[in-house]
Amino acid sequence: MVAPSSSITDKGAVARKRRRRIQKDWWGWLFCAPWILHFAALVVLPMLGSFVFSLYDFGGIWGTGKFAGLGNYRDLLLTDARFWNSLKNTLVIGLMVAGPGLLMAVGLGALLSGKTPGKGIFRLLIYTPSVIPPVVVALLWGQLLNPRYGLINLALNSLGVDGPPWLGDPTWAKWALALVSWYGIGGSVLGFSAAFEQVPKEMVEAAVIDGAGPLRRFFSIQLPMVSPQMFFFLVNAVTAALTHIVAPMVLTDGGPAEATMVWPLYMFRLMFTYNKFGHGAASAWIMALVTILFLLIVFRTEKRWVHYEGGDDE
Amino acid sequence: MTHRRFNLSLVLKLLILVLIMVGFLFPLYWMVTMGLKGSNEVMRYPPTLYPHKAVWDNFVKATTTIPFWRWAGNSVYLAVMITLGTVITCPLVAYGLAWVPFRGRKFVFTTLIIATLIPFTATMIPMFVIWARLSMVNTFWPLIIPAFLGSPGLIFMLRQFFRSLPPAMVEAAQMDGANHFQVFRYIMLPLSKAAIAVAGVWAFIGSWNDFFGPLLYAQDDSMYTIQLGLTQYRTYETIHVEWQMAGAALTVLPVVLVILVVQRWILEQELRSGVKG
Repeated sequence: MVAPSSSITDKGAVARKRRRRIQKDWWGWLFCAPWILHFAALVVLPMLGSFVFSLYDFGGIWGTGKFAGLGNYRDLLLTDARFWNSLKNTLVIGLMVAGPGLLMAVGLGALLSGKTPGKGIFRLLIYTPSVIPPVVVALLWGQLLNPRYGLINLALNSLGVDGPPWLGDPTWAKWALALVSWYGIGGSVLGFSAAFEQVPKEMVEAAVIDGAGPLRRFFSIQLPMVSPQMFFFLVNAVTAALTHIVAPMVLTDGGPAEATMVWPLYMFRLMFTYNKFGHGAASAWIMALVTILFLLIVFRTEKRWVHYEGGDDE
Repeated sequence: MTHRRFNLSLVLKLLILVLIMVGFLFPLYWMVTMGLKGSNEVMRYPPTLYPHKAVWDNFVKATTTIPFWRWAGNSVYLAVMITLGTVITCPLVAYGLAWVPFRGRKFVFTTLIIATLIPFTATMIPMFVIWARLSMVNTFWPLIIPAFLGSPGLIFMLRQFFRSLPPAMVEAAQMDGANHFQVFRYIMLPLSKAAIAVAGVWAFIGSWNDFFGPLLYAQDDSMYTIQLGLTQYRTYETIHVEWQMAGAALTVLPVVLVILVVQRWILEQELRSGVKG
C-alpha cells in the first residue's frame, strides 16, 4: 500500500506514479499466476513438445528415437489411407452432428422462449440429459439402438418402418453417433432460448404493425438477432468434432469397417495401440493447424453474417 | 377471434414440447427399467415397456460384481479435489482479469481464449509423455494439478460475472485503502457465492463424468474411476446388460441430484454464458 506523504514534489510524484504502476502490474500478474503457469506448462510446452516428437521416429516414453524430419507427416499425409479415412469421418460426422443440431437448437430455443407456459421446467428437463456422463449416454444408446431388442427399432416397427441395423452398418453407425451427440444438445438450446429472449420486444412489435407474419418475423428479425449464438455454436461444433472420442470408442470402437474411426480415436490408437508417438504427435500438429485454419475462416467470415448489437468489448 | 387462434397455437406448441421432452427423458426411463429387468426379460423381443418382474437384486449385482464402491470412491476423491482446486484458483484469476488493470492483461486474456479453442486431443500425446516422465502416470495428479492451476472455461465464466458487478463498489473500497486482495476477499467473494458455486458444480460434474482423463492416467484396476468401471461388466461369457444399466443409473443419480439442488443458479448461468462474450 502506498503510504500517504504530505510533501509533494514533482520528482516524488513521478517516482510514486511509476512505483504505483509497477505495483499495479505486480498485483495483476500475481492474481493470474496460476493460469499463466497452466498455459505455459500445460498448453505451450506440450504443443512445442508435440512438434519435437513429431520430427522423431518416437518409440515410447523415454526413447528419443531417430530423427525423421518431416517423415512422420509424409507417412500420414501420403501413405496412410486410414489417417485420411479418419479425417473424412470426422468431417462427415461433424457435419451430420452440427447441421441438424443447429436446426434443433434454434428450433427448441425459439420454442422455449417468449410466452411459453412452463418454460422453466421444460428448460430443466432438456438440460438434464446434457450433463449425464458421456459413457452412460454411449452405453445407453447402444442398448436403445440394438437392432434386435432395442427401443428405437421397436418404435419404428410400430410405425410400420423397418428399423436400420444402426451400429452394424457403416452409414447408420455414423447417424447413431450423431444421435448420441444430439442427446446432449440441452446446453445449446438454453443458449439460444436466452438469445431469443434478448431480442428487443419493440422490434418485433414494430414488425407486427408493419404487417409481417410470424414466419417473416422469425426469419427477418429474430434469426439475425441470434446470429452471435449461432457463431458460438459453430465454434463449439469444431472443437466438439475434434474431441469426439468417448462415444466412438465405447459405442462402436471405430467400426464397422472403420466407418466411425474418427480422427481423435485414430490418434489415440496411433499412440497407445501402435506405439507410434511420433506419428501421433504429427497428427496432433496437423490437427492444431486445421483448427487454426477453421477458426480463422469462421472468425474472418464472422462480420459478414453475424449481427452484433452495439460493439464488442474485448 | 384472435383469442381462439392464439390458444390453438399455444396448445400445439405445448404438445410439441411435451413430445420432445418425452423423447429426451424416455432413454433415462429405459436405463432405469432395463436395470430392473431380469436377464431374460432384458433380451426379449419385442422389449417389454416396463419390467414385468422387478429384479432389485440387479443393483446389488451391479455394485458387487465389479469393485463399484472402490471405483466410486476414487471418483469422489477426484471430483472433490478438482472442485476444490477450481473454486480456489478460478475466482482469483478471474478477478485479476476482471478488475486489476495491468500491462499484459489483454495478452493473458487472449491465452485464455486460445486454450479454450485448442482441442485437448492436440496436446494429449506430449501431455502424457510429460506426466510419464514425471512418474505421475497411474496417480491422480495429472488430473488434479491442472484444476489447481485454473480451467480456462470457468475462469472466463467467472470473469464475465465479476465484470457485471458495479465498479463503484470496487472503487469505493480502493478509496478506503483496500488492496486488491482485500477487495477480492471482502467485496467480490461475498457477492459471487452463487457464481463460484456454479463453477464448482460444473467442475464436480465434469470430473465425475470424465472418462478419457482416467482412461489415460489411471491404469491399474485399483485406480479406476466409476466411469471406467461401467465398461467392465463384461465377463468372459457374457455382458450383463441389466447390471450395467443398474450401475449406470447409480452413477447418474448424484449428477441429477446436484443439478436439481442448484438448478436455478445453473440454468441462470447457462442462459447467461455464450451470449455476447
